[in-house]
Amino acid sequence: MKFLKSKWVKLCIVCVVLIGVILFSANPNSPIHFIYKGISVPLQPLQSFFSGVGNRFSKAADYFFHYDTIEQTYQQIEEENDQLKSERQDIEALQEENEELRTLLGMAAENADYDCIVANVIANDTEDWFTTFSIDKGSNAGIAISDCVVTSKGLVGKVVAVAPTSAKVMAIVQEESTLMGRLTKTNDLVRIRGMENLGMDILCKMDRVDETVDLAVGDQIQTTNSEELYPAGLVIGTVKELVEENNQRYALVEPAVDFRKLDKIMVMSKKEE
Amino acid sequence: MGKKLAIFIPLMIVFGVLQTSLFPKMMLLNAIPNLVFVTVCTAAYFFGSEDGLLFGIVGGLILDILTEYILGTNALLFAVTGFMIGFFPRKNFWDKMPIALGIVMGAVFSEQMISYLLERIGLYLSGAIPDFSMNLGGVLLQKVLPGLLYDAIIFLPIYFTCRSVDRHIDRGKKLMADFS
Repeated sequence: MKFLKSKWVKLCIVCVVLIGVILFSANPNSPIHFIYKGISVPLQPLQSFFSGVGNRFSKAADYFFHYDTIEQTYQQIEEENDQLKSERQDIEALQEENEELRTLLGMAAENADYDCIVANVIANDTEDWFTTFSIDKGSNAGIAISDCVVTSKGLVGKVVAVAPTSAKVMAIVQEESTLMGRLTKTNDLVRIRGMENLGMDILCKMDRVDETVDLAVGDQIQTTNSEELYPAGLVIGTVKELVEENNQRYALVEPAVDFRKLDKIMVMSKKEE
Repeated sequence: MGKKLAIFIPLMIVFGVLQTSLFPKMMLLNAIPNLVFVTVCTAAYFFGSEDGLLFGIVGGLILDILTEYILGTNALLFAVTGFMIGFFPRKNFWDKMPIALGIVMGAVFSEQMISYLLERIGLYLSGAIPDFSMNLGGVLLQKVLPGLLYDAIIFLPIYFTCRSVDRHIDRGKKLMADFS
């Protein structure tokens, strides 16, 4: 038994045993797999914790070592983002224009007695920049003085001067403008005048409102048949404020059209019979 | 022996866990440090061939279990290496850190090359590769040498741990001898 104490014999025994274990565990169906997989189970949470730590470290190292590439990619993405934003704005503008044109088309179909000409606002008056403006269509397109000008939102005003390729439009908010309207709620006839607009609000004035007229804030006013210039049923605006001054009752009317954002308009020219 | 095992078994379990989970995510030049193997080699260098054999078996089995590889492969390789390293007569004139580093790095190099050779043989015998070919240059440059660099770095703390354990045991033995 003395030879068993020799180091070399111990080595040989260990080698033989381990080779046996290798051969035994080389078979995938060997029961030894269940034993040592069972032993490794308690260590798996520890392994997964360190694996997570390693992943974080690896990401941080990636960021550190590939900073230039990441920065470059970031710049590229930012540029692409700016481009996409710009494209999106263009698309939104086109969609808005498309919607506006569709509505105008619908209005043109409803008013068969009128020739409808779509035009763009090309210049505003330097003094009354939102009350008088020029459009890019004129008599060549069939536009004549006193033709009605509208947008999809409602009445804008009327043509006051015509050149072959352009025309001048006076908005209903111009002090000189006067037209008859009808309260949608009660059918009462009212007069709408332009007024001096010095503040931020662009308003019209509904003057000489009779005591008997049932008027409230928010009431809508439309064009009426009694006014030959304008087709009936076009929205003029809504009552914004009721005022009583020197025993006279009047109302401030907010136009349906936003005169600051006028871009595309439609001229409705009465067809000759 | 019991003291050494009490210190080195938990240490090798921790190193095994780190080697199989943390270090694969922290590859340096495409290499992973062979913590357990370096520990086995260094411990064998300090404590002799019999202890080296035992540490090799334990360390190899821990790695086999954690990697769920064929049980005994690492154990056999580590045990033989630990046994061989234990023959260097450190106590007389080899007790110098650079020499220990050279011996352990030599062992790591041999282990890497033998592992590669065995892997190729295994692949060839299983039919995974049609003919037996080896890219020794590529393995040396891309795997073994970066691995050696990594192992040389981690060798230092392991060396000083083993040395302090060795000195502690020596002191204990001396005290026992003086007492008796």
